[in-house]
Amino acid sequence: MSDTLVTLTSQEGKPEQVPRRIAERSTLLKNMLEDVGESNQPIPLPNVSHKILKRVLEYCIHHKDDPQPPSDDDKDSFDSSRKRSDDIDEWDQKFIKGKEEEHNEELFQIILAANYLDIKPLLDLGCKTVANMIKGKSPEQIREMFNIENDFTPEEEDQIRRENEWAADA
Amino acid sequence: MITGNTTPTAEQRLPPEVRLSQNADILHEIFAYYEHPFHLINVSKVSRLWRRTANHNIAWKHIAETMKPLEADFFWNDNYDFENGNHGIITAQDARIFCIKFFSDSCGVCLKGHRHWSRTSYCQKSRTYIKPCNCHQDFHRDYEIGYYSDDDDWDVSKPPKREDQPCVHECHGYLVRKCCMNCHAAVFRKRIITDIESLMKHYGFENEG
Repeated sequence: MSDTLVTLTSQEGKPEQVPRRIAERSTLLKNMLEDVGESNQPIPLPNVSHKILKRVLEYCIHHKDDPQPPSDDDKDSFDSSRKRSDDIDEWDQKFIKGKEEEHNEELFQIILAANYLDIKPLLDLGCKTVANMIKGKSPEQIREMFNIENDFTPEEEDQIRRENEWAADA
Repeated sequence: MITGNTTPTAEQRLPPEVRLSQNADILHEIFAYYEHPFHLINVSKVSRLWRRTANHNIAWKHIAETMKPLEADFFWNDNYDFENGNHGIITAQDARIFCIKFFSDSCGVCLKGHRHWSRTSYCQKSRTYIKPCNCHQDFHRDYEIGYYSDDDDWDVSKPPKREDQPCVHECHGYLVRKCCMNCHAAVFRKRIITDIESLMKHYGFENEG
């Protein structure tokens, strides 16, 4: 059964055929396929563009033989408190780096797709990369990177400043 | 037939960086890679959502770091099945003790235990728990406070046992001086304590008043 092909349809309606075993790297698709059973109907992925879907599948193909990550229920809840961001392997580093000129946009889209498709190792890879990118940046630089509006009131900003005074002066 | 709407929603049309920056679950995952709560200060200044998420993450680190050593002798008992969310007969009082323990036994910055701290205190003025380090005892002995005794029998209605009972100056937090890292921990603790109720809910504790 795991060698059967599954058709995934991207946001643009473009189909992409992959072995079921590859598609099942995504917990969302795995559950969906289990629920649906044998079916040759395409699975629409309205949240994922065709370009990003291809990138995600590239990752899934490379990692097809990796053991499935433990589910949240099985995992020691405390493990997540000791996550490291400096242990990205070489292939993953190159993969997530992508093309220099569109690095950030593609990276963010891959993270969103990994979150939507529930591919934990890919989500982790993306999050590690973003964590490494924003470490040491000022709040203003981070806002610029993510196109974030500063929604603090002057009073809140004042409170935050007071709370962190000791750190600023240290 | 597997169906799905292929028309992008308004949310899907937002740039990916905006969608990502508004997704608290993903932010939480990103912030989990900050080894040190100290480093989360900058991200907590970015926006309200980032601040909430960063604070939650700091609190989570506290729970994770501090619950572990307590596993054997305190919280992991027959009535409490943390992993499966079966909270047995844990009461709000247990939860308070739990919070006191995890906030008082480790430093909010380095997450190491600071055994030289004296006793956990309850500030009636701010209605929060805090444990100033010993170096501040001299500054803050004038407030009427409750105390958390060594046998876990805390009582906020009683006056301090000793004259040098540590207390909390001006509603906690700003007793901070740059004399030691413990002081810094107090600031973090203040911020985390404001989130105690949501933490208690998160871990399934009943709010019994």
